[in-house]
Amino acid sequence: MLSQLAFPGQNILTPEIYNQVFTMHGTIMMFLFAVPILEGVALYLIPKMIGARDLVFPRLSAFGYFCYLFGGIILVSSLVFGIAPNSGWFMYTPLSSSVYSPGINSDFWLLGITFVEISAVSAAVELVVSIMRTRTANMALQHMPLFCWYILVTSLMIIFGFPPLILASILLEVERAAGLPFFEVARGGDPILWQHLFWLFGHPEVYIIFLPAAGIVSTLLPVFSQRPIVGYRWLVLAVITTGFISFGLWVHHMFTVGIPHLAEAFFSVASMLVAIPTGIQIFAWLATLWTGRPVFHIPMLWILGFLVIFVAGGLTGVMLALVPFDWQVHDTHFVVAHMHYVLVGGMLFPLIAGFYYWLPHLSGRMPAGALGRWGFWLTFIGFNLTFLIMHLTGLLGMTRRVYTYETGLGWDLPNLVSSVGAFIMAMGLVATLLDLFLHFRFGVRAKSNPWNADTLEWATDSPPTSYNFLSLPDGDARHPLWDRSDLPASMAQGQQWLPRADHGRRETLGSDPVTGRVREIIHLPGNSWLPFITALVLAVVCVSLLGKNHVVAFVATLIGLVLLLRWSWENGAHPRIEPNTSTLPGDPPLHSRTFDGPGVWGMAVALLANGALYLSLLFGWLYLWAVAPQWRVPGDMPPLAATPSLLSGVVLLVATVWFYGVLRRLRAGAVARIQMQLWTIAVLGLLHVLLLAWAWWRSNLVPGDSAHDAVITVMLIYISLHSGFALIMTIMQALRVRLNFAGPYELVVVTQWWVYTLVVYWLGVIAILGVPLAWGSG
Amino acid sequence: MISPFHPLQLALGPAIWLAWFSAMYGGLSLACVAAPPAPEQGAYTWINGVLLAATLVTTGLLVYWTRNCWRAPLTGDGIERPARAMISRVAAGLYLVSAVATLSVGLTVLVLPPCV
Repeated sequence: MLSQLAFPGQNILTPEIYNQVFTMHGTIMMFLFAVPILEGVALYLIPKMIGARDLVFPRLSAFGYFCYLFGGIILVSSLVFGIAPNSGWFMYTPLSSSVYSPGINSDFWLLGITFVEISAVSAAVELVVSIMRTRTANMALQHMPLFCWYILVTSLMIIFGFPPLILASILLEVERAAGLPFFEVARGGDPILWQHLFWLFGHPEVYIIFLPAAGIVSTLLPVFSQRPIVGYRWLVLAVITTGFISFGLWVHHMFTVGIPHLAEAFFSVASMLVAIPTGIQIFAWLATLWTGRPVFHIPMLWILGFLVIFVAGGLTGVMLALVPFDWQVHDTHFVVAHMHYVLVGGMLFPLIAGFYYWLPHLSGRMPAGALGRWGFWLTFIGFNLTFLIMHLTGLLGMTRRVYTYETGLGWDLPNLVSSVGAFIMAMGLVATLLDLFLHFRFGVRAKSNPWNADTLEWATDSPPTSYNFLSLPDGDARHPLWDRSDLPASMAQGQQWLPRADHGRRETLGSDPVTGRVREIIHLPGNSWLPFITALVLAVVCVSLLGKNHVVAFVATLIGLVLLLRWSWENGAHPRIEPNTSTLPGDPPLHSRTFDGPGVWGMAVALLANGALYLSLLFGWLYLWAVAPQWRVPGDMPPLAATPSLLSGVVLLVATVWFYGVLRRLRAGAVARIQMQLWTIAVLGLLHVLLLAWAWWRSNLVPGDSAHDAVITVMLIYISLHSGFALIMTIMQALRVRLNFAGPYELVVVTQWWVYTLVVYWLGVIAILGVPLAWGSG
Repeated sequence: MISPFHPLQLALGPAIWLAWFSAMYGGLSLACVAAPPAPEQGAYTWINGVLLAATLVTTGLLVYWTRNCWRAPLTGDGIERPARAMISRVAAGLYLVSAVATLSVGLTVLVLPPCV
């Protein structure tokens, strides 16, 4: 792109291809590179840092990886075929709608990104539960490595931040493919709703990318300063604050759409406030450097580069938070420059520092010197040459996303300088990548814990074995390897927790989320083809939807559901998973024999993401009702038949309370007639579904006619799916009890689903029937 | 109020700020659709009055919880005690930061008209 812009009036790329290239550049960098690579680093490091043998849901991670792989291939293939998305990485409607983008370019984005986001959310669930429940013995919150705090907050941000975009993508794809209007003004929709949903995701996304990278900085700086980090608690406070405030900034991307000045002021002040926790982190890092004895190995070069570039990017961020300034530079190259300072400085530089730092852990070899330093300096100089000058290009008025420009506007020289800088930066990155690859062959053998680090990942072999540790350590210190130099040897000799392997299980410790006290032995699942096959089937769904072959898509969806249910069937206390249930006297119980296995936490965290999606839908409903310029309510009848829908809700309430009662009795030790009760609850669940179907059938909704009916239809589909799954899961539990391999915690998992279904059902009924009463008929 | 040592305290302060923030933005938008005051009234309108009251009440609560968490006497022994100290002290900081954030954002209602 910068070759195209090096001189005015060039035709290296046609306008259409340029549109595709800049759209895919942003898309690939945000969705296929930044988030996945940081989650990948976290998935590799977290179990080792917390002293666990593996992640708690390894099959979920595998599923997420294959979703990423297949989704990424589908998305990138569009570029190869010349039909890539071309509406910008944020896909604003109406430009991305079927009227203005009639080809399948936008569909690639909507379907591919949704597919890839399954991967991001899966990894986030995995990381949250792993950090909360599988820390090694006595690793209390105050002992957790800072990197874990960063990843915990980031993962929770993904849990709440990604669903609005998943919903928006689904709605836009449904609008394009089936004609249901959500963003089309003439039928009661509003394109600004897309912007809200997109930026509800998009702004936290910036911090989702930055925080793990900052976690790398907070891990490396103390090691290379050879002292504990200054202000551990301050950093925890700053990370949590950043995570929350980042959800209150989304409208600062929309300052020019025409909202009241007072509302803009709210977001303007909030955007400046986020600089405070970031400042706390920077001062803690500087204080650590100041009071330590810094050693300038290659990772430290990249960290210093990060500090310089990120602080500059943060300052222009505060400038952009000022509404009048934002109006002046909106959609100019100034914003492009700011964004790259924040993202490249805030993410790529720490990431490369992390690669160099953890290379010996992965390969057992040390990085070399000269080529790596050349790589850094070329990248640093090239980057600043490209993007520092780009601020000026923007201030001179050059808008973004233009494929060329006329000479004489004062843009010729700054564009040329930026293009030259981009080539220098590219050379630097090539040198760095070359250095990283070459070290696997030519790097000097690394000694154990070569940087004299303090965290547990350096207690593994280099490269580590598949089970990480032969025995699991006590984690009752913040710097275990600095405090106990004999710890790695003691672990390798099997003198710590869970050294036994003759039972054939893959085990790790399950601990209290606050104190780290050991509560159970978590029995990890083994290898399986199911994650791969399920992801492959979902890829078929994706491709068939792109090809408009809805029959194949429907059949593949059904196969996918069957595969997921099959996956859940062979789990927990199933005899094929757990043939040997013996433990040593004095050992904690296996998790499948308790009421608080990791599955309970996994379901709870997944439901948080699910709830965020549903709340986004309710937000959309209320937003359109209040703001859409041509919102209308078709007909005089209530949109949903009141009697059957209320009856259905009452039956659902009875079923949920009963299910909860079964669980309570089981906790109290009463196990009689559980199977019969579960079958009865399943019958109630069926009755609830039938009553819901009756209410829907009598509703006379015409979803293609108005946004009003379209949103209600989506809400009903959502509720029906949840009710249906509650029914199926209850039947499966009854069957497991009958076959005598249901573990107690499985009922807790299903109870959560029932309660969630009950809540979304009644919220939906209130939204559909109550809002018209409260607001009038529009 | 839940115990000052409950781990949820690590999320409550900023979560309350976020809920207040969403309510301010959503409430302002709805009020401007339902009953927008005349622009010449400036900042002294019923909408700004309600928003200011919500700001002051929320800030007051957050400051009160800051004090509660900071002054909570430490109980428990062994590894529980430092874990509790960590939670209550960091939570106090989070409540305070949330109070400052609430006041900073909310005070803009004193100078800007609501629906212009």
